[in-house]
Amino acid sequence: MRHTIRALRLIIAVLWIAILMLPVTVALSLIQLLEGGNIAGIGEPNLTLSDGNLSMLIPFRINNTGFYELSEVCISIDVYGEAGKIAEFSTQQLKIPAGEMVASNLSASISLEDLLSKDRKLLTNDAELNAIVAFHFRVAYAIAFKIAKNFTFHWGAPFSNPTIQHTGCNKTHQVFSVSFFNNASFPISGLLRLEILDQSNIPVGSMGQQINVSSKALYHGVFEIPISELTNSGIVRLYFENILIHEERWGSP
Amino acid sequence: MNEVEAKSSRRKFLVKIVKAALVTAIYGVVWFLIWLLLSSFLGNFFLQFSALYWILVCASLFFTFAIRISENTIYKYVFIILRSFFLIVYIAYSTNFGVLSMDYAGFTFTVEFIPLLAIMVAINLLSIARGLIQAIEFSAQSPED
Repeated sequence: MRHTIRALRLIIAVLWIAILMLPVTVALSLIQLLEGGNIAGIGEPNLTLSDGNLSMLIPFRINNTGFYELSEVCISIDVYGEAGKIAEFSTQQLKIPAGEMVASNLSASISLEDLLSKDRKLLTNDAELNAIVAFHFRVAYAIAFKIAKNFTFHWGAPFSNPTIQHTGCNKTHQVFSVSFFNNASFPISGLLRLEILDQSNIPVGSMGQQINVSSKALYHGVFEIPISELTNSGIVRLYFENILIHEERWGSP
Repeated sequence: MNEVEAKSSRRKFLVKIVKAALVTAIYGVVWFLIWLLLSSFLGNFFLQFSALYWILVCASLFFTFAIRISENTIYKYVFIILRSFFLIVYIAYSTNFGVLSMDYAGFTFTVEFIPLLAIMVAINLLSIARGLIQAIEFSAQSPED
């Protein structure tokens, strides 16, 4: 029993020493990392809206001059609007071995449908949004650090001021002119679809067009929609990748 | 027990109390010096945690005194085990279960050390195990107690 007690005492002492030394060595590693100079750089974040997904790409480089590996390196962005939290971006986690420099891209993607399920007005209306940007990393697989900051930014609506005008018809087609202004800071590419419904809300025709609209640019397109039955009024709906953007009545009731 | 034996026993107990009080006082001075050092180096940042610090000091002094005064009895090991239990609860509570946050210059800094906390809890569990084994050994050696 004495040997067991002695062994336990030794294990406890060793573990306490290790536990108390680890934060000290982690702190020394971080100091060495910070003293290295030119340790990190973040490039211009690149946002794109394509195929119904809002993607973000942040180029960065980190020179890990410390003596512990950095793991779980990631950036997360939580966006808050009037309706509360509306989006959550999180880049994939990276590992940076000790003494190495890593230059890579932190990328994240979110479905536009998920993004707009909280606040559809963001498609067509500008807004002031809050974002919490957090940088997270773990040192020596034991101690994690997170640095977060709150920002307010202007959200430019990607389908600002949408207008749909009925410009003509014949026995087989209805012709509509569609325009909107991409006020967002990212380009839009994907399928824009116009659907027409008759007075009983039954779809009578639909047509899609691949669009590619640059940031701060006006889109104008003409949709010549083949119709299954002759109708001269109803509702017209504009979709982007199956997300309803705008609807209005057309024709004379 | 005659009067002489009773007197001797009382004297021994008194000496034990004095010794325990002396050791506790030395520990108290050491804790106070640590407090002085930390408060002068860390300033206001440390003062936020002074209540937690003094809880640790009071508990530590109590257990030091109790363990010293119960030397050569089974209660010594009871106090050792209780001290380890207290440390588990104290470490978990005071470190907010391993996640500490603070705001500075518009930034929020968060440190998470759950793996370290888990090891600290494991160390205290080992201390409890050691206390139990010591108590068993003590009982085996002095059955009259």
